[in-house]
Amino acid sequence: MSEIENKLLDEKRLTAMKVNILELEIENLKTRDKTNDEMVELIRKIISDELKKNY
Amino acid sequence: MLIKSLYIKNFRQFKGETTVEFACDKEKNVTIILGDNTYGKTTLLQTFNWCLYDFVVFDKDSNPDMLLNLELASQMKYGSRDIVEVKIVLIHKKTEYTISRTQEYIWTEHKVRGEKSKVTMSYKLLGSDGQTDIRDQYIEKMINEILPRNLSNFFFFDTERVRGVSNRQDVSESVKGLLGLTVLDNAIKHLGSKTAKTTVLGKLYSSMDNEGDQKATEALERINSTQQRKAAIAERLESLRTQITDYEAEKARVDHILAEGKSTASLQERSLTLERLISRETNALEQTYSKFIQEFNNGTVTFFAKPLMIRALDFMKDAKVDDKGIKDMTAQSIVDIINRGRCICGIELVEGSTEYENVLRELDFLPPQSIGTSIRNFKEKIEMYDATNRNYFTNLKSRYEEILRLKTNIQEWQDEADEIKRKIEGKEDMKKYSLKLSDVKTRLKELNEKREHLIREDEGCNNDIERFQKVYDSLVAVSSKNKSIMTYIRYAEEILAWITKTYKEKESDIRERLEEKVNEIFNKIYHGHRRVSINEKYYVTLLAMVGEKEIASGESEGLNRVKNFAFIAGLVELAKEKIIAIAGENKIDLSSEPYPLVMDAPFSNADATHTTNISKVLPEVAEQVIMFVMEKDWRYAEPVMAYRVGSQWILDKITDTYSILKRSDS
Repeated sequence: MSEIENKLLDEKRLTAMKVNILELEIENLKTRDKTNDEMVELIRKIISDELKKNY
Repeated sequence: MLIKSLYIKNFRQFKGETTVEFACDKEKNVTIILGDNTYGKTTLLQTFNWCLYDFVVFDKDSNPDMLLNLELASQMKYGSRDIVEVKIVLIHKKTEYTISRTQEYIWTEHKVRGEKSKVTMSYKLLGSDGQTDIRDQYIEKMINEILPRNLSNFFFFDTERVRGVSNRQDVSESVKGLLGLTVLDNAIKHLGSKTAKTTVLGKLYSSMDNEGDQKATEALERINSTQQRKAAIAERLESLRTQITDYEAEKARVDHILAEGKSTASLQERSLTLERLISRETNALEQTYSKFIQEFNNGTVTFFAKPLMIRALDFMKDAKVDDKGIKDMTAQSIVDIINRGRCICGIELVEGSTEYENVLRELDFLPPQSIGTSIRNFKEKIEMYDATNRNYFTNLKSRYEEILRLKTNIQEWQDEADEIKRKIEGKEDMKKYSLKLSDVKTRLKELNEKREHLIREDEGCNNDIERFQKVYDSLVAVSSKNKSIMTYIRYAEEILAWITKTYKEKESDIRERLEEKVNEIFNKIYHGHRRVSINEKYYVTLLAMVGEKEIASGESEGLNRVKNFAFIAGLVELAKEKIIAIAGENKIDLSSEPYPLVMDAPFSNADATHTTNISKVLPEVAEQVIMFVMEKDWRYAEPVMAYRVGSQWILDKITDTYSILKRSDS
């Protein structure tokens, strides 16, 4: 079983993801810098990066 | 965010250089630019759009693509060049930004042609010297950060926009942006769902390895199709809900009209009944008249001859009445039979025969030999006439009484109908409202039935999704790659659920507070008994209390103005408040910035009282107010707004293509 599987719904990781996703959205709302696809990819990355972190 | 100054060069009718400094003081935060129609007020508003976002809105017939002053353009020669420029200085988060857009115009090929516009931007911290330029590729991004273009509708208002701001299609999105909900909305859209392939969840689900596992694929497809059906149901339910709300409001309105017009309705019904009664009785009267005249014509002679008959009978009472003669026979008839030589029974009458003698003897019972038979005939006829006379009077009397009764009825009903006509004159036909109510009730019943049916269908979908999800989970959890993806999905779904919940809570709270603020401001401007209601699409409706119910009330142009100003002011005031989302111990600020209000001819169509009231409210709610006003409207606004005015300018029209703007002394 991989390390990731053991980290199901860790509150600390979940909170970090929420904060990072909303900050990303706030930033992009102001700048309109990123496309829809780029935003989807970045959010997916926020989730996967957070799960790969070792706390 | 405050707008400090505006510099214009050769832009439309503003030939040469013009600079306007706007009031930025907290207490004196109003800038007034006075000018009548066609003096350049709208052009000034468009300088903001052009400088910041590179677009302008001018009438089609006013050469909208030509920004260079026409007088200058007409003086250009082959190869000569001229420049249009607008420069705006803004103060945002203790930093002063200067944004300048220029466009070069060249005379070429017998016409003046504009090059592509160029924008530059620089900034400096307040109190410091020197400007730092912002690189070209970041300028648009930076402008959007300070003054987002999608929200510009809510700080740059032309007359048309003020008129329609509370019921335009795009209002919902802009309001969400202004009130900080767009961040959550966008996050929800980006996280998406398993059916939307270009979203986070859609991509995660489609990256699951379902190859060789037909059952898992089928289960996922069933989940997807059921979710699509569920989404369609939700859409239809929302549409039904809106329709039901509309029909309920209509029902309340018609109920109210019918309750108010109940007496009118009953009078209108009585009036119709009376019309029918009068028509029926008039027909009966005509028939009775006709019978009366017929009976009068038939019986009058014998009736009035009766005294004469009585006298005749009296005279003949002693005369001998002979009953031997043939009734109604005359002497001439007997003579004719004898002369013919044959009796009516066929026997030949030969003079001297017994038959001849018998017939001849009949002459003895007839005048002139005897009048006995005639007297008998006469008496019989008198008896017959007398019998007719006995009914004649009774019949005529009865007909006459009937005529009187009918005439009295008609007169009484006619009087009542006239009185009703007077009472209901000018009142609406209540019958059409009764029909309308019945129509609305039927429609409401149909809609509610449809709604209940959809709710049941939706519950069925939930059960299906849960069932297929269990099947899917048990099948796909076998591969470790899928397990990792499933972990991502669990987190993404959890985050989506949290953001959706937060969005719903904030949205509902914000709409409630917005409604409160708009009502508070509306009541300061409008002194009446109406209330403002804001629906889920941020459409604003005025409601009036009728009995215990609130119904949508009609709006005059002036009242619409007041409603829209209250809405704008409520939004601006609410946008100043902080909106926070809490994630664990983190507080995420979703608030937007307080923005200035720039308005072109805001008081058009508002009456004097409303203009005065609006003028009191706007400087209190907005950080900065910049208004382009006609002098006739300013007369009503000035007494209450003058103490908030920090900068006042006046437009002067020299020619149709040349206006100047100068600081006003007053």
